[in-house]
Amino acid sequence: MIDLFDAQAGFGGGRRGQPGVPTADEVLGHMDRLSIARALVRTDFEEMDRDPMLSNRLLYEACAQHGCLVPCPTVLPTGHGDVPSEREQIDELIAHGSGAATLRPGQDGWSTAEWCAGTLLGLLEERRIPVLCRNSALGFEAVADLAGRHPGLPIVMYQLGYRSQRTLVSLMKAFPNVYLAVGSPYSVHLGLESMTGHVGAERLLFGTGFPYAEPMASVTMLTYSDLSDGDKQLVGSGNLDRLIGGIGR
Amino acid sequence: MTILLEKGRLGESLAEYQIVDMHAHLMRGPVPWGEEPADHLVRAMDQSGVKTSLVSSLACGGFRMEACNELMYEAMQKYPDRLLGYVYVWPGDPEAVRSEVERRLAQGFTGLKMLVLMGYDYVYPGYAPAFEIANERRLPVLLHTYGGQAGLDDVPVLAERYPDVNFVLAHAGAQQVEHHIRIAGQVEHAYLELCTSSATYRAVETLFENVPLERIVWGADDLPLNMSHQLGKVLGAQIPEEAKVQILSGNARRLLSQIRT
Repeated sequence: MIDLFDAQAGFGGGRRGQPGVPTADEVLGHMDRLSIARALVRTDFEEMDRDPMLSNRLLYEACAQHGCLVPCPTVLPTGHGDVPSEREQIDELIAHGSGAATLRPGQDGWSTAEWCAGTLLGLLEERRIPVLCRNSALGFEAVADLAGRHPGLPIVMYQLGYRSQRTLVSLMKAFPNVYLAVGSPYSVHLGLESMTGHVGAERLLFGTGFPYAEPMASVTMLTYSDLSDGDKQLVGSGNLDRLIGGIGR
Repeated sequence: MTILLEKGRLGESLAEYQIVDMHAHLMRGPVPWGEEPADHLVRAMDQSGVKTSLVSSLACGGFRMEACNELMYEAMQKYPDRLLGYVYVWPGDPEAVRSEVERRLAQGFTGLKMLVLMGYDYVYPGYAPAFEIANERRLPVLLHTYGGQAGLDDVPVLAERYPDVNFVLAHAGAQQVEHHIRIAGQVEHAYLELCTSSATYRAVETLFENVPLERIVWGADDLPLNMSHQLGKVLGAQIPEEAKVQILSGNARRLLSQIRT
């Protein structure tokens, strides 16, 4: 059985018009049911989260109780002075055993330009901390700009659909530090096979897309794919393990 | 783990379940594949052992009705035991619609496919000849019913006019779940088909809890979507095993058995 490490999951966030807030127990329940060994988790749904520092604290607390949950906290530039310094955020991230950081410039109101985010991005790059970027929050041009300016920074794009495939292939060919989490809504006809052919299986990370998506959809996209067993294992968990293992702690 | 869930987790063949995909396409874009779309579609079916796909061709541009259907006919001839054809209908000229539908059904096509996205409501008069034929022969008619222009409210109107048509409402459970459930409650011959790239969390369970099981069918929308991804949300749904089998196979087979030849 392929070992699975979910790179695209979360809990603890609210959504307009939806009464329930997804919980860590829900994530753990699906992981148990579908034999997913570990999950890199963010605060999600994210659209109503206006206090990333509080959300990070709650995320760290939940992950501390469950070794299979690896935190992926939100980080942001500190120019405005309302959040701890970039270095303090990253030290805290490292201290809690995080596997990556989430960038949400639109959501948290900052620019990825060097004059605003240069210190943050530089520190993340220095430690080789992977950053997760939702496609709707950080589009292709912004990711390309970021990847070019910080070539040592692993950038993981997620929540992309089939209409992105042409652009995505070109972007990932141009920037070797860009990765793709293939959780829903990445439902692309022979998409894993196509991406593996273009950029290699080493650049793809298994993800479920929970709480937006039914987690099993992305599981079968991988298990039934035409990828070799070795490539399935890389996508399933090997690539994320390698990225997390590369973090300078 | 239940059997279906375990097979999906392990990537084991589901061929024994004789799965019927009610929604597939021949397309050349926007997914950048250079080879023949029918070959790719069958390759995707083979990954998990899907037995049959009902397919419409949009590969030549939606306004080129005859060219689209000709490509579909070629695909049916190449894969006669795997691919069944929907006649794609572009309603610009009612007489052309009538003759195209009659000609394609004589060639062995199985149902009709219409897309409100082409700029015509489903009650547009140009579609009427196609619905009349579908009503005579009790054909399945696959309707795109997703997004801002979903056409769902046309379905009860059409059901009054064409009571023997089996309406297959595509993308149920994606966005307008409550709307789909309401239409299914109003229209006895409305079947809800499940494909959606988002694989919306608990959509299958919600439909299972609110719609008669025999009126939920599975489709993949491959191409452009990923067939195995679409399969997974049914395999992983927290509903009884037997219900999954009905959704993946039994319900579609019963629907297709109603066709009058």
